[in-house]
Amino acid sequence: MEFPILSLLLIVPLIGTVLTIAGGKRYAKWVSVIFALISLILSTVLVLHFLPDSFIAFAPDSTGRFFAFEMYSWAPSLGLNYIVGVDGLSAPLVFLTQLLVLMGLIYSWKKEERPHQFFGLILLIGLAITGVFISLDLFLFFIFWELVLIPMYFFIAIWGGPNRHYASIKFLVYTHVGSVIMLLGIFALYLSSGDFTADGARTFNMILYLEAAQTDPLFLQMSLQIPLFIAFLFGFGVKMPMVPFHTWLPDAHVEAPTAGSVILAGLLLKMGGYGIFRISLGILPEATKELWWLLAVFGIVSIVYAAFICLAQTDLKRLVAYSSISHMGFVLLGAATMTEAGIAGGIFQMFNHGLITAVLFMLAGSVKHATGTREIPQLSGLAKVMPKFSLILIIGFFASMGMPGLNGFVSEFLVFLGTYKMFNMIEMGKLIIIPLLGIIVTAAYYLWTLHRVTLGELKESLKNVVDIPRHEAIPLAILTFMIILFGLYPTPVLGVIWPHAQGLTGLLGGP
Amino acid sequence: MFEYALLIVAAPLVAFLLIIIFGRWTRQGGAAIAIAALGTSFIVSVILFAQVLGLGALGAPVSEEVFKYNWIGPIEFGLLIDNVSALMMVLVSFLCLIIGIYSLGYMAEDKSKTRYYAEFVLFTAGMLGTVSANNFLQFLIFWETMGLCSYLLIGFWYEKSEAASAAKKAFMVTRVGDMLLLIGIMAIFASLGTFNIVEIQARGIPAGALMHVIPLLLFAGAVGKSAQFPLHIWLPDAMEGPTTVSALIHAATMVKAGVFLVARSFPLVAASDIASITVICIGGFTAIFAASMALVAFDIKRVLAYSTISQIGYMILGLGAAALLFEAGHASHGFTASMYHLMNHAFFKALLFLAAGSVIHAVGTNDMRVMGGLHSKMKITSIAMLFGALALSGIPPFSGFWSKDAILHEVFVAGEMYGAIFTFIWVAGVITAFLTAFYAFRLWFMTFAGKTRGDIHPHESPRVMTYPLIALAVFALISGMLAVVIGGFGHLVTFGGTVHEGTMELLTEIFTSPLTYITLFAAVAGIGLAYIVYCKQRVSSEIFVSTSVGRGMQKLLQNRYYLDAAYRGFALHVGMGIARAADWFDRNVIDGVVNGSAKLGLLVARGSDAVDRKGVDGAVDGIAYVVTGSSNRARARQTGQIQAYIAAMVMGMFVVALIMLIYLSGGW
Amino acid sequence: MIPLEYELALAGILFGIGIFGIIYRKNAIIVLMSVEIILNAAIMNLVAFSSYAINPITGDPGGQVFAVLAIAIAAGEVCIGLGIYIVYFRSRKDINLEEATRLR
Repeated sequence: MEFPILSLLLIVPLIGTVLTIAGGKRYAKWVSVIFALISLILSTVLVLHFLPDSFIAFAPDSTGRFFAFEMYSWAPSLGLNYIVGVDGLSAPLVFLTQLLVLMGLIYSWKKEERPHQFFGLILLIGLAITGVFISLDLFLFFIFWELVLIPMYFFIAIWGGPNRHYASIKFLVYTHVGSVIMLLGIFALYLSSGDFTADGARTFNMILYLEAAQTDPLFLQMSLQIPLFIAFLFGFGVKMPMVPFHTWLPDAHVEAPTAGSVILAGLLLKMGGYGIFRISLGILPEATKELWWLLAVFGIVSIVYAAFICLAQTDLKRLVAYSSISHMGFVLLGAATMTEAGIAGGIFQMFNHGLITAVLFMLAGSVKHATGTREIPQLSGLAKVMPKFSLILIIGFFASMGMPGLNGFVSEFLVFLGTYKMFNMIEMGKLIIIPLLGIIVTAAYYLWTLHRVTLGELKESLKNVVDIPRHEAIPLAILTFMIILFGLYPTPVLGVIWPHAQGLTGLLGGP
Repeated sequence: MFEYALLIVAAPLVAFLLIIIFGRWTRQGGAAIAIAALGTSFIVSVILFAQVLGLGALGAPVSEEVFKYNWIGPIEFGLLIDNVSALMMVLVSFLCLIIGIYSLGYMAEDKSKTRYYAEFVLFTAGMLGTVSANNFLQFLIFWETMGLCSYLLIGFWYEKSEAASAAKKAFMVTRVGDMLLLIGIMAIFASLGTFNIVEIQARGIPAGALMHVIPLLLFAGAVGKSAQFPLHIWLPDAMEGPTTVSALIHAATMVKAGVFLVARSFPLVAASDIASITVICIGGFTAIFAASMALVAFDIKRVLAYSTISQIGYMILGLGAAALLFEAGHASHGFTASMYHLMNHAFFKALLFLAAGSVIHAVGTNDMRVMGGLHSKMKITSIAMLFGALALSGIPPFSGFWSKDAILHEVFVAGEMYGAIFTFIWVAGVITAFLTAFYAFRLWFMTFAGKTRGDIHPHESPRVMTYPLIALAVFALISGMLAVVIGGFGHLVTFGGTVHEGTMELLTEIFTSPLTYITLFAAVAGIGLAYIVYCKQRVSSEIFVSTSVGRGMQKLLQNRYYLDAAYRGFALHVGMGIARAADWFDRNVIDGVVNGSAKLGLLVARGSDAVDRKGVDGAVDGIAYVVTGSSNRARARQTGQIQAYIAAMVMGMFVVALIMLIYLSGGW
Repeated sequence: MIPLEYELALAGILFGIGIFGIIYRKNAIIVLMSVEIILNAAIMNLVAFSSYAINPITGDPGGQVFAVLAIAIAAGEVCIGLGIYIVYFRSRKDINLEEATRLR
């Protein structure tokens, strides 16, 4: 039997969670960091498989789509199985999950309030998100999808800011409504699955759906595909979040503790994007071809609308939260293009946004720790007293605004390239101006914020501020390094993603 | 065979890393590392230039791509070595080196030298990378790196809020151009499937609307970077940075990248008459427009900034004219002339800025109204600046004369062919030459001639600053003539134009043409007027504002044609207005709907609760009331004793059993 | 072979005795015993029907299996019932069912 690496990725954090909570306050951080590190190493091994000429190889499943494949029967009479596996879409996200969990743990090193539960919950949430990315059974997928909500709810409700109860309930109810509608979609899929499986049995097995879509895109008739597409889009769109289903996000972010925000923006939002690429595009290709404009419109509206809102924000964290919405719009837009470049760019954008937004939320947390406020008008001239902070802030902001040479540019550029190919420039391509307008507005709000926070004269009240402490600087430095690395040399990640994008493009057959 | 050219770009990049890591432990904040790297780049690029010229046998262009490396998918990075890039690399690395050395003196007192040198070498790497990029994507990466460094260096003294705002403005405004450039590059990729510059130049854009749109989009990028109208507003403000930065980035190198971009995409521009005419109009208009604003500026650096915009206008104008002629199938020297002017301007404008920096270093202010009479105190600076001013005004044999004359000649030729509008632009060019000479000497006379007006104690700058001035002054004098000596700049850089064969023929051609004398006369007249007004003061400068028209004009110019205010108003009112509206919409409408539906849910819950209590329960109560009445009697049976209940239950059971029995047995 | 009617009659009589005991006796222990008698009546029926089932020779073993199961469960039930009485006795010092009117 093959090394069950994916099951280990679920089991290790589970043991970690139990031991961290049981181990008490004293050992919490060490135990949790060790387990997170083991997970990170495991996921690194996993990603190494996808690099060309890699010495590590995992066996594929029978269709050759997924690797490190494991399948155990769970409730066969219901068509329920425990199926896990990764491909080019999920591998980078699995890696990102383990990375951000570890970074979040290190960043929260000095947590005073119930640290064992805090660290334990971070591990648990990492486990649940990993589960979402690797499970290939719709039911298992949904279980993990819902499992994510519970630790996140406690995160906000226990360690959150002053308005935490409102925010946590809003988060829970809002995303839950999305999930329920998605669940309807899952059951509709399940109930119609008897028509195309070989033995006529109903199944939750995602691979069977993907295969069926591959052989006959119309394996579900259009009258079913379209409502399914809309149901899934709603479920994923709330999670992404796309305008106008986004308002839970800023509130949740403002109230959540920093590590919570990092995981929320860095990973939770990616679940929505992952779902779009895996289920909406992968299982419902004909509906996508019919309704791509819906994705495009939501994407473009998210990009521009959220960017404008950023311009009016005064809370640094709220600003970053809205910028997240704006940048996740690129994922939708990339998916809508149905081109190789666009889809690869969209997937890569999820990865990049995970890195960048983690840095930005950590910085927002750091500025709060250092100065006691996140209100931009109360800050000024921090470059003088917080040079490390300012340097990373500049890199983070420029990466986020799509500065060539940093990772955000590569994915945004690919999305634009896809968009450009999709909309013929002369025919209806003036549309491309709109998301580009979003980019200009993005540059405006970041520059303006940078101007107000780091430049200018140092305020009297901020004279005694100290720069970021070491436990906060370490994760920031690692993530910043990756931002620059993948900006200059995106090939490792893009190499993993590209074949998947090609597969999807082949399935969708372009516009 | 040019593999070593990679060293030119790599040296400053390595230096950047070294300065970041080790800079703060070295004595001058990493200056030594920076100078060493810049020196390496310079020496290697001189070798490269010599080799390219040797191969090209004076005239035949060399074009070779080296060091190819696969980035993503079909995109291949590498260096494109040809005459233009070799020339640009020598120019850039030389100026960076000279200005780096000058910085040793100018920045000696500054506390954040490490940051300064790190950003300085990163900029150098960006500029060298831009001019040597073999594809537009790589071009864009380095282009934006320059933009970033420009942002950081303008905001170098970030405690000053003007510097911080200027940095923001510069980045924002160029960003607008960059976005259009990005669309242009994507459009090229979408229609040709490649970013490679050589391939794009060779294949051209297929006919259709895109043929006109793409060059215009590329040109928009150039307009942003080279501060042409209408995106010129950032450059005067960018003078808030250190003077060395103004000299290097905002006069000699980075702002030329736009011109370089037009030169790189010249075949595309030349393929479209609309694009060519746009380029000409923007260039010509910017030239006179910026020169007019230089007339009223009192900040010594701002005068030079406007002058830079105006001179780049000339270069763009020359390229446009060449493109138009080229499009019509005529040979043209416009391309050559523009690159020629680019080189000359880089030398004399860097000289002017460094001299101004020397003055500012000595005087401690930028305001020319408090200067005056500095000639006696700072001889070297004064003479160096005089050289620069003469070159800028276009007085032979200084360098500016040769190239400016060539450009105006080209425009006149285009005018002969296309009629009045180009003749009009040519006239504007000549007027610009007059204005240029006037403001250049207004600056010189106000600074160095006459008596000191303010309370200042100037002194000559240290040698580390004056030697670079002397070197540049020499170049300002000879760089134009050098090209004449080798028989025309066309030997070095050309694009489809004829190459002059000999020095004498070239000189004859220049000095027999009446056009030359018209331009020359305009320049001399400008100098003369400046002499009368600002040196001899026979005529007070008040005469310009004695009439109401003059005063209005002055106000208009001092407010920069109100364009800054208009943009600012647009950004503040329209941009922020949309932002506030969107924010309000988000908080109140969208979130209102969300909270509203939550409230609605609660309301429904409360309502159903009330209905439950009052309605349903009421009904139940009503029934119960009736029942209670009767059951009050039955209450006696409610003893609470289990046995009583069981007895009742058993009775009930018997009844049920009885009914079933009757029913099952088929009724009564 | 004993006819089915006899067995059912026996079970019915046992059931009647049980019901009578539950309703009219005051002592809780005896009530519990009556409950057991009712259960036994039910078990009696199970066994009777099992022997009377489709195959007259072997009968249907299912009924007998359930009978054994029911006996085991009845034993458990008695334990719980007695446990409840002990708890009840501790709090009320009495298990006279006449007095147990708390359910009212």
